[in-house]
Amino acid sequence: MNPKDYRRQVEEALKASSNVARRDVRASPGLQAGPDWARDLDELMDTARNAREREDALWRLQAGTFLVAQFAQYRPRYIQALQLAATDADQTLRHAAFDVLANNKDDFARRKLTEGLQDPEKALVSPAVALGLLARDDHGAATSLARSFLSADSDPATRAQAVRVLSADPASTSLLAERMGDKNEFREVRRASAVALRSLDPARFRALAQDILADHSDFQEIKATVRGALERDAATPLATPAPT
Amino acid sequence: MHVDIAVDATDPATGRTFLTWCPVKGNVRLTDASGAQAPVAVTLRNGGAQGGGQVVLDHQRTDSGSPQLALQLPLDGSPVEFWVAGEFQHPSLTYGDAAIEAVDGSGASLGSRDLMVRIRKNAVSLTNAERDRFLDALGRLNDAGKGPFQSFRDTHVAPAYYEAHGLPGFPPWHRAYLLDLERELQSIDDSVALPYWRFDQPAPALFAQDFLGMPPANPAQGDVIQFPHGHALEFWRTDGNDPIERRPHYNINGAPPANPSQGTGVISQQDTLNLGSTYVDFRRYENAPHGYAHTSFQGPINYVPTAAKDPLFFLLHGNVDRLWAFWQWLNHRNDPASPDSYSVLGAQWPSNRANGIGHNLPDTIWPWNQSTSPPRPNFTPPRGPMPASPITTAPGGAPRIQDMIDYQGVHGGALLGFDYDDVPFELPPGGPVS
Repeated sequence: MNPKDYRRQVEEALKASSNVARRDVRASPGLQAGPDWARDLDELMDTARNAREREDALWRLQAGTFLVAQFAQYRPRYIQALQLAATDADQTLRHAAFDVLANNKDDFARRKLTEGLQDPEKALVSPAVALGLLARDDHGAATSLARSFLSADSDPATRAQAVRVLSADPASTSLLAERMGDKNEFREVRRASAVALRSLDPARFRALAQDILADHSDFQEIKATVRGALERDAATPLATPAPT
Repeated sequence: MHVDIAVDATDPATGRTFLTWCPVKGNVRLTDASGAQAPVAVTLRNGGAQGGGQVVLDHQRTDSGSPQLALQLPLDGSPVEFWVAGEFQHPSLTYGDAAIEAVDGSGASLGSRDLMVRIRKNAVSLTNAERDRFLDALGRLNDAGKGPFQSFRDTHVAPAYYEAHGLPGFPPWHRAYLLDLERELQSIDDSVALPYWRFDQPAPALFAQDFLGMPPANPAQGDVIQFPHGHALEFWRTDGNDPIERRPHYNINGAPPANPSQGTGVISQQDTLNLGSTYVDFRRYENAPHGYAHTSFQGPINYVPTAAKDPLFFLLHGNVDRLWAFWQWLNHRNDPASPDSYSVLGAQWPSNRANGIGHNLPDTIWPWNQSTSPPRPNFTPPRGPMPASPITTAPGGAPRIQDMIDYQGVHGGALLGFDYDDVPFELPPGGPVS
């Protein structure tokens, strides 16, 4: 289409949909007003308010953090508000608050998440979420907890997150290789173990991957995972032998 | 009889030609004039596959080329110049599905040049093959955390806040950042263009398992994306061991919510364009919709220093850049010299950069300028100079703010080598044509 024709088409569509005669007439007074972070902070900290309204305020504030300089004066109170929300009765609000605090490597969040893993009575999020958030922050602090969960917990999501934590721990290489090769293990855990092992010990990963590909009794999903990795590593996956 | 067709936007190493909507020079010459007694009349025309990319041709640099162009070729083999561009709204799907073909008066083919009209597209409009080429290149760039992608992630960090955020240089800095990434992807697969996430529209296909994926349905199971086994991003890692974590807190069968009456949320393209027709007004889009697009998710993407860990970042910013490009085209705001196109007016400079360094038109952009002098970040720049492109000389290794504005060369500069599927090349009224 000729750009001039396209321009006419776009301008007509804009006028029709916005009901304004000129493009540079602001469609909405709200767009001129800009964000009101002080009000949003009040809303987030108001425990009497509906949790969804408070969560909406949280995300408005988090959007404000992208305007770093303008938001700086609100930041200390924002962190306080997040810590308050992280212990709220509403599970979704707690998860959102912990998510933002973990990205900020917040000490309060780290402590609360660790306490919850050590004592289920104090847990503010599920073990899988807590392990995932701690892994985002500091793998080292959660290593021993992750080992405990991997040895004792039967929830596949928790086990996979525990593997993720251990992916930064060279001392866990053998444990991860064991999980990757165990056909009785959940496939998400085997996948997470494969990803971790490839990072920690690429040679061992390749050897184990070839074993998996050669084992015609192993599952197609894990074969697809390791085959894809080998191909991207420019290693030649062995052909899977036909069942005899 | 045979002719040779050459086009400027050709990679000398591979001989492959890539067009955008912006015209580039070409030439055609007789390489075998056997049987001819006088200059030979030829017609250049589209020669690509049905449904593939299309080109438009002209004798001069215009925005209104035609699918055919008649030329007279001298017998001595002297080249005859022409201009060629991708025909707007007719991008390629793969390399070689577009071509310039030369035919004689009888319609017999005298030669052709295969090419690609390589355009940044809405992610949900990609064919499966386009999607998979993009994902494969991205996965290889990451290389399970050991590849060059980590240097992109290390660029978008807290010490670099004021290079890129909350200040006038937000749009041009991110344009350079995307261009750098796209050129790296193209060094892996030259048929890839960076797609964008049109965040004010439903995009369930983008978050499907075979594209950027979704976390487990139950939030209690964590937010790690569950890719199908064998997916190109299955081994994605940043910062050593971190996979992709992301959980939308809106229904992905719709668009993220907007509240235009309050100026918040992922406001529509229309409301974004209505922010104003001058740069000072328009750059407020950094908050809404841009900031709200980021915070439509739980996960690292909602926080400046961690956002670039998630590959979605680059599709999100593809749309942020497309919105700027669309606004530029709609309002004729491509001239870097015009304060309506770019201005630092009204900027609230942080105390450590009272002169706004990094945001003035002639300033070079970190990290590509390799500066470690205050107020630039005091660590080794994670990225080297801007990679050269085999098809254009712009913007050079150390791009300046002003180099990012006229990305199509509308005002006569060198083009940056990318275009969006819904932003045409259009010369300004009465503007330069050469």
